Amino acid sequence: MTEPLVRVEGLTVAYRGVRVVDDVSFTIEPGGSYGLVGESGSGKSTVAGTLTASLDPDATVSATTITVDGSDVVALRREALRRFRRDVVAVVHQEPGLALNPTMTVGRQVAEVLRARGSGRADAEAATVQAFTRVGLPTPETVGVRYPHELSGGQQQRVAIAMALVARPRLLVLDEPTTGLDSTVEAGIMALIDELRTELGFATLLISHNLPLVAAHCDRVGVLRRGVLVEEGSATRVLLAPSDPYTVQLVEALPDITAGKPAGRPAADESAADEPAAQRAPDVLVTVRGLRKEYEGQAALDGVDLDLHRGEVLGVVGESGSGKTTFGRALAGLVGYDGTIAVAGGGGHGVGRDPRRTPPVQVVFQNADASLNPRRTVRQVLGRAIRLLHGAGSAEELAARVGLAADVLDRRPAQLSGGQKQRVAIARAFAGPVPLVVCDEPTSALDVSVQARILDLVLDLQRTTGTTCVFISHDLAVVRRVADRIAVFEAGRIVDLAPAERVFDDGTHPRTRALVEAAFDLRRRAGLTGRVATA
Amino acid sequence: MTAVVPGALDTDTRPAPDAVGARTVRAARRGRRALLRRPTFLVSVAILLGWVALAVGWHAFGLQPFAKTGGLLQPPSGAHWFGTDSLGRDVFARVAAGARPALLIGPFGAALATVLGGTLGLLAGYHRGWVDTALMRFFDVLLALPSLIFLVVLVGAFGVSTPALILIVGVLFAPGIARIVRATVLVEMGKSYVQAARLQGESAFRAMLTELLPNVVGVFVIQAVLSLGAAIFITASLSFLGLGSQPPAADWGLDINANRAYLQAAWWTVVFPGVAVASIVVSANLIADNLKEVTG
Amino acid sequence: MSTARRRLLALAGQRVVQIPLVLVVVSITTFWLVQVVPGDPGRNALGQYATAAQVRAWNVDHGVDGSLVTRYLHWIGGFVTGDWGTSFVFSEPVRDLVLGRLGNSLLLGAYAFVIMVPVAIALGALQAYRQGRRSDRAITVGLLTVSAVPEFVVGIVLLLVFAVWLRIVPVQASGALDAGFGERLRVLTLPAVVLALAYLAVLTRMVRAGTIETIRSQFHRTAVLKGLTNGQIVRRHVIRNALIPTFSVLGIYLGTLLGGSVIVETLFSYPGLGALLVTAAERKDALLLESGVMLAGAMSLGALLLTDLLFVVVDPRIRFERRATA
Repeated sequence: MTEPLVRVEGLTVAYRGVRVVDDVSFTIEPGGSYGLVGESGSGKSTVAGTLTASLDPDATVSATTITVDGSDVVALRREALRRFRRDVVAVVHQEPGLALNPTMTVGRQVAEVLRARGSGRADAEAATVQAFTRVGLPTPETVGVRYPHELSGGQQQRVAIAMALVARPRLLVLDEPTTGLDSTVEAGIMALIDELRTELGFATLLISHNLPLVAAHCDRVGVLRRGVLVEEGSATRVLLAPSDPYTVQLVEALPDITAGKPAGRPAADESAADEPAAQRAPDVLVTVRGLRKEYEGQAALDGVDLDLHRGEVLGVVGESGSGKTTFGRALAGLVGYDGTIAVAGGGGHGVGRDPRRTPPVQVVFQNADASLNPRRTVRQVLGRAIRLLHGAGSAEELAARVGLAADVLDRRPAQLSGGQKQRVAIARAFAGPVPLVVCDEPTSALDVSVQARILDLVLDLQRTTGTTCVFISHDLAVVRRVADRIAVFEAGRIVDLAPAERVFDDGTHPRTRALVEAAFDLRRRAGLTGRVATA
Repeated sequence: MTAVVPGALDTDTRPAPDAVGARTVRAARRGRRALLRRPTFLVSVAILLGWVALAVGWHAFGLQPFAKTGGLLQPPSGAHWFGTDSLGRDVFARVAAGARPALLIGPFGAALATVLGGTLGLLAGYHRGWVDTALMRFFDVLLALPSLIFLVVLVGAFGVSTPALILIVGVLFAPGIARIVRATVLVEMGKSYVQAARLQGESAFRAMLTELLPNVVGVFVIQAVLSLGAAIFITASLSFLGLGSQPPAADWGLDINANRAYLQAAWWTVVFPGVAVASIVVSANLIADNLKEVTG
Repeated sequence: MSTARRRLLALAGQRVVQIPLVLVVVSITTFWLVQVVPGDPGRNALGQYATAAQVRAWNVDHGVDGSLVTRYLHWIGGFVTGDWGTSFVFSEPVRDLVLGRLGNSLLLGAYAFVIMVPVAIALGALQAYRQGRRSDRAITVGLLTVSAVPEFVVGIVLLLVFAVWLRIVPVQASGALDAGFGERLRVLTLPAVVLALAYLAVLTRMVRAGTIETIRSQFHRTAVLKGLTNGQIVRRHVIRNALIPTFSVLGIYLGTLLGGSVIVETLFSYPGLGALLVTAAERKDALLLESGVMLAGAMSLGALLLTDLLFVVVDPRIRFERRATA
């Protein structure tokens, strides 16, 4: 039996007495791929940091063994540590735009690694161009003189990968490498890494909160919860037959991309109890015609026409830069625009409107932290919302409806968890009779286990109040769960608009197909979908 | 760069999310009380209060800054703690009395600057658009001139009466404060809670007052304290140049200039007023620093 | 054309328009403050007991009669063509006076700048790498104290120590004008040090903040994890990124220093532009004051321009096409 490349036994890391990693053990074979899954606070990044010996000096690290390629990582100092980092381990981090020196050309940053190993300038430059070609960057001969901010997110990450692999490391650590990148870009990056792994023979440690991603690209998976490795095994086994209750919870919380919107209990005032609102003759609430918005010469929205039906949930999807966020802002009246948006029941809308005449459009923002005034208690926020939106009931009742315990009411945002903050934001949006609520990626910043519950909450509120909802997301599975109709955005226009199932089963536009394919592909590879999409 | 400590470069300075969260919450709660436990803060406040007391009531101590109470240029002694100056006046008395002009113009000027600059910064940051651009361009022009020279011109134009000096100090510091407040406002505006309030129907004015202002107040306070120190600095400088108080007023800057020639023979006539100025300015800066560390 | 050159040209184009505009606004403001606010120039010069006729005659003699607008245009026209009038305090052409003094101020200012910048960088970097430790706090408190003490007090204390007790340098810096270059520097050292100390605190703090932010940044971590040596990391990744935020402050300080430091020049009896302006303000010599202020303003704007140029060359992210940045 060959000696594992990475052997970790009994790893415990503590900061000021608080244990962040607790007795974790795992091994990685040479050329193998290991995935570490966990939500925020699970300690997964700390484990990675231990392997590269780059933790805060405050941290107390103790372990029976931590060896990578035969070296005891904890004991390395100075020159030996430098050589270890240069030759044995390489890291690719989450935000490539921040991980690259903004004032140095990308070519030089990559060549630097080679020159540190003794190559001459000409050789290093040649090898850099080769590396750029290998990672699939456009114009590899000339891209080296560009600066990081001149490249797209995907290109920046490819540069980071080139930089990591040019020294031929034995272990590549990937810490959330595709979080924040579009799904098609993500697929490309992960495919590239798989290819390179086969070609160059290094082992990978992939760290992510995205369970399907990890399962699709790793042989073995470990699940971390609050610093404890609760489950470990082959990727297929962990995903399809999890034994630990936490893992089970994670798997079940994954939005199922094959299942459509769950049929819910009918709203109290629906007379036609069997038919969901969207299937009745559409009652148009908002008419959008010729919507345009330019930022510095670039068209964020390039002529959008749409009718929003009263009581429906419209899912809005697209890659970043497609205009979906700008669309949401325009609907809410937060940005100026050209064209018309007419809300039934009054003229003008949004921030500049006359509050007595026109109904307010509410927004649930992505970052719950920034959308709550840090100095207000929950009670104050909800009370004010009820008052201003002419809602009924008290702050306590509203809080209970969104599943917040009574003791949360007198706390400030800094004392709430991410999920709780988002519940407050949602309660605020639904505090009164509002015709339209725009949800702008409300669950993207939340852990998977919390996402599902928040989505259910939004659905529930929407049904009981009959509010029209525009739900913006880049995650197709999330959208499928909540939407009646889906609008696909690309380059500032709507390229596809149809009821949800039609979009998934036989959407015609290439952009739609690409998005659906990317989402399905991941889950298929992870072995998650029982039913394969008819391509 | 031999100053580099190798260990410092070998670290990842981001601790795990759990630990960071716990730490910052605990630190924030300690904030206000921690202020009272910081020695530099307490000492600075004590010094400032001491000078305020002297400025208000030096009469009560029976001091005589204008009369000849001793020999000329006598060194510090039991009778004259800080010695006497070239006209036989007690330096200690003059230093104590000098607190009044220093603390008269400084605080009012700083207050004016904070209110003026703060309001303009708030408006500029909130409304953006042409109001913002016009204001900032104008301030850029004002800041393009070296401030002391601008000050000299202003004094030449408006005179050296107390109200004039207060106005001048206020106008001088307002642009700088406006810029800093504006920058903070821009950061807070980028956070969606202000937009959320407006969406709920809050008028622009109310949103600014109730949402933005409370979160920006900290910056106001710090700038106010800093300008206090700077204002006193400036008024002493003006007096030194002969553009402030006129003889025989007991004024620190004035005394320093007047006694320059006696530096070698009687250092006490110059050094004690100098220390007086320094003590107030340092105290104000330390207070501002402590506030910044506690709220930032 | 390379992107760097394109950006430089864009910047130059923008500034060619902006700087004269700013100078015009400065000129109007100065004119208003100097000639309008204090009242009639002739009355100010001759005092309250002169007759109206005498005042009028004086005004005509000195070319300050006529409406405000004519006077302003007359002056600005003269200024632009090189005729800056005659100073009635010194009875010399303003231009010779001002330019001569400017040279002195430039020398002193440049000297102070050259002392201040390396010291600030060294101290700031030292503090950043030893952040939180005693040396860091000690330097902060020390600099804070020194900078809070007004320049004339610091100057006096240093004069006491070095000129009076130790007799290393002379008490007055006026002797600097006739001596050789080395002697001039020796005489100017004390004033330059006083000036440098005044600005050192803020500059050091900015260097410290910039360096800390750089050390904590993700790209610094990347550089460490690439296995580079400390020297390589500092040279290639830290220095440039840490110092970029300080450029704007440096520009402002350079402008202030070159325009003449009023207090230090007065204290050391150094014939610089600042001291000249104080005299002009006291004695209400309008033409002298106006031209002096314009020149100081021009120096300031020139320094800011230099800074912006530096930005463009050093930081690839800066764009000047649409609006000013940083």
